[in-house]
Amino acid sequence: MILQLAFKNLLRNRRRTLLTEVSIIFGVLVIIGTGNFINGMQRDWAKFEIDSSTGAFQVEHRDYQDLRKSETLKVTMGSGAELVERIGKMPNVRAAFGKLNFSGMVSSGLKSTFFDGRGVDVARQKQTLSRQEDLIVAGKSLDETAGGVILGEDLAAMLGIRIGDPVTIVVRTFHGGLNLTYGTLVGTKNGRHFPSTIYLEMRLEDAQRLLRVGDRVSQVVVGATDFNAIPGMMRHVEAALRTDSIPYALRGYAELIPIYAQAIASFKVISAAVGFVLFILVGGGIGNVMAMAVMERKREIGTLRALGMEKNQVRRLFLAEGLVIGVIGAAAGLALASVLTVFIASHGGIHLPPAPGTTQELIIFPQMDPFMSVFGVSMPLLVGVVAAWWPASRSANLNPVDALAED
Amino acid sequence: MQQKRCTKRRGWGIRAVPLIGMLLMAFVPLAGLAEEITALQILDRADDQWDLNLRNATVELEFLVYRENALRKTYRMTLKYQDTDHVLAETTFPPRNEGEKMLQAGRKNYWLFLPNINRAVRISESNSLSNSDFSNTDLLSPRLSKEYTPKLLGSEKLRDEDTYKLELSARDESTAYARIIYWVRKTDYFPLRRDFYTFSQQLLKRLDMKASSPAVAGAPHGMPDTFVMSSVLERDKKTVVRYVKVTPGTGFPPETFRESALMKR
Repeated sequence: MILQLAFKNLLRNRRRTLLTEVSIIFGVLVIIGTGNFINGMQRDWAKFEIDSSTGAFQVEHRDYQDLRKSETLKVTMGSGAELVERIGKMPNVRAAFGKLNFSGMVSSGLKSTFFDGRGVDVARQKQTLSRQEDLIVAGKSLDETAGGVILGEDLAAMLGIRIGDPVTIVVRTFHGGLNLTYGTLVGTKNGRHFPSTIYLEMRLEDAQRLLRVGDRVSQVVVGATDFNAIPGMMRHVEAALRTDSIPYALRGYAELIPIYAQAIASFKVISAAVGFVLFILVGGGIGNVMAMAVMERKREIGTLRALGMEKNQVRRLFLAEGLVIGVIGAAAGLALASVLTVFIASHGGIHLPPAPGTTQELIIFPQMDPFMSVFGVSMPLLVGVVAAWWPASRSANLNPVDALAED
Repeated sequence: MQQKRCTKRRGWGIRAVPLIGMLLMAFVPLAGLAEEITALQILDRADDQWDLNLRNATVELEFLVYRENALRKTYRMTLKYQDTDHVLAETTFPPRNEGEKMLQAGRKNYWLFLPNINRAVRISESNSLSNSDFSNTDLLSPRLSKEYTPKLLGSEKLRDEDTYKLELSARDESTAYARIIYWVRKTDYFPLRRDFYTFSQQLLKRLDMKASSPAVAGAPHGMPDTFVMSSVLERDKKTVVRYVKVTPGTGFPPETFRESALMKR
C-alpha cells in the first residue's frame, strides 16, 4: 500500500524523478564499472606478467631475498634439475624452469659495464612463460645454441652493439675466482619487470658452466594451468617441500611483479574515493528530491494527517519514496554496468598503451567485481533511505492545521 | 812409503768412480724435482723482492685510468704495507674520493671503507679497484706463492731482458685467477709481466711492470714502480699505477690493519 503510494507520488513529477534516477544510475554505473575495470586490470596485469616474466610463483632458497645482493651464488639451490622436474609434476603446474641469477661485467670490446644477469632453461622457459617472447625488441629469443646472449635494449645501446656482435662476459664464480666467456648477441629485450640498462640473459647451461656452480639454480619459476588455482598450487608445493625439510621459500606473483600490490591498493583507494564522492552526490540528489516533495506537498500531508494518518505512516511514505528511487536506480545501474562490462570484454577489451620504454600493450577485460557490485547497489538504497529521512521526519512532524493553511 | 801412499790414493780413486756413478744415478730421477724447486725458488725470490722491499714501507702512488686512449681519471693513494697480508690503501685525491680506504686485514679478508656513508663493507679480492683494470688483489697482495703453484716453462727474452717464464696455477678455486703466466727478470728476480687467465683458460688481463730511471725516491734500484694493466674487456682502456715515493721502515701501530679501526681514523 505504502509502496504503491510512493511509486505513484514519484510519477507525479516525472521529470524530476527521471533526473534523480539518471544521477543515481550514473553513480552506480561509475562505481560498479570502476570496480569491474580494476578487477579486470588486476587479473589481466597479473596474467600478463605471469605469462611473460614472473610465472605464477617462484621457489627459492629461504635466505635468497636477504643475501641475493651480497652472496648471490651462495643462496642457490643444489640439484636444480631434479627440483624443477619434481615441481613440474605437481598438480596444476603447466611447466617449471630453473633460473640462475648472477652479476658481472659485460663488454663489447670497446666499452664495458656491470650487468644483472640470469641463466634460463630455454626450452622449459618457453613452456612456462607463454608470452615471454613478447618482450623481445630485436633479434630473437635464446635457443639451444650455446653462446647466445640477450641484453636489455638500453644495455645493448650503451655498449653500442647490434644483433650478431660478440660480447665478453666476466663473472666471479661460485668459489670466488674470475671467469670469462665469449658470446654473441642474439636479441634485445625490454620489459617492466627488469631494468633494461643492466639486463643480460643466457642459457642456463652456459651460465652454470661459467659460474662453476654445477646444476645449482637461484629460483624455480612455475607456470599454472589455471589462474584461479594458483593459491592452491602454492600451498601444495610448499607442503611438499616442507616435508623434505628443505629451506625453500615461495613467492607469489603479487610479490614478484614490481609495484603490483601498491598499484592495486592505490586503485582501490581511488575507486573508494570515487564511490565516496558519488555517495555524497547521489545522497544529495535524493535528499533534494525528497525535500522538494515535502515542500510541495505540505497541504497534502496536512490533509492526510487530518484524515487520521499517523506520523509514522507519513514518515514511512516518504522513506518508501526514497527507497523506490534508490532501488530503481541501483537495479538499472547494475544492469547497465553488467551489460557494458560484458560488451567490452567480448569486444576485445580495453587496450592500454605500452608503458614508457616498453612495447607490450596491456589489454584489460573488465570483470564483475562482487564486492563493488554489492557496494554499488547498496549505496543508493542506503543513501536513498538516509537522505529521505530528514524530509520524511519533517513531513511527519508537520502540524495538520499549519500544513493545510500553507499556500 | 811414497809408493804405498800413491797406491792408496789410486785405490781410493778406483773405488770412487762407481760411487760417483751411483750418486749420479741416484740424482737423475730428482732432475724433474729440481726443476720444480727452481720454479718455486724463482717465485719466492720474486715475491721476496717485492714483499721484503716494501715491508713496513709507506708508498705514495698515482692511479691513472685511461679510456679510449685518453686519461680520464687520476687518483692518488697512500699505501701502508706491513706484510703480504696486511696492507692499507687510502685515497688522497680527488677530493670526492678522499678518505676512501681499502684494507687487507689477513688472507682473503678485504674491506672497503666509504667515508660518505661512514661504513666499512667487505669486498672480494677480485672486485675492481676504483672502477679500474686492477682488482683489489692485484694491488694489495703481491705475494703469489701463497696462492699459486709455480711451474717453470723456460727462459724467454722480454723487452731485451732475460727472464724466467713461469706458469702459476691457482691452488684452489677461490683464488682470483686460475692461471698466471709470469715473467721474472733473471738478474735480480724483479717481475716484468703477468698475464692473468680465468678458469675458462681465457686471457683476461695483462700487467706490465717497469722501473723508472732514475728510480723513484726510496725504492731499491731496478724495482718496478710503474704498472700498466690492460684488459681484454676494453681495447682502448688501461690503468697505470705509478709509485711516486717509497718511505721504507715506517712501522705502523697494529690497529692500522684492523677492520674495526677503519672508521676511527
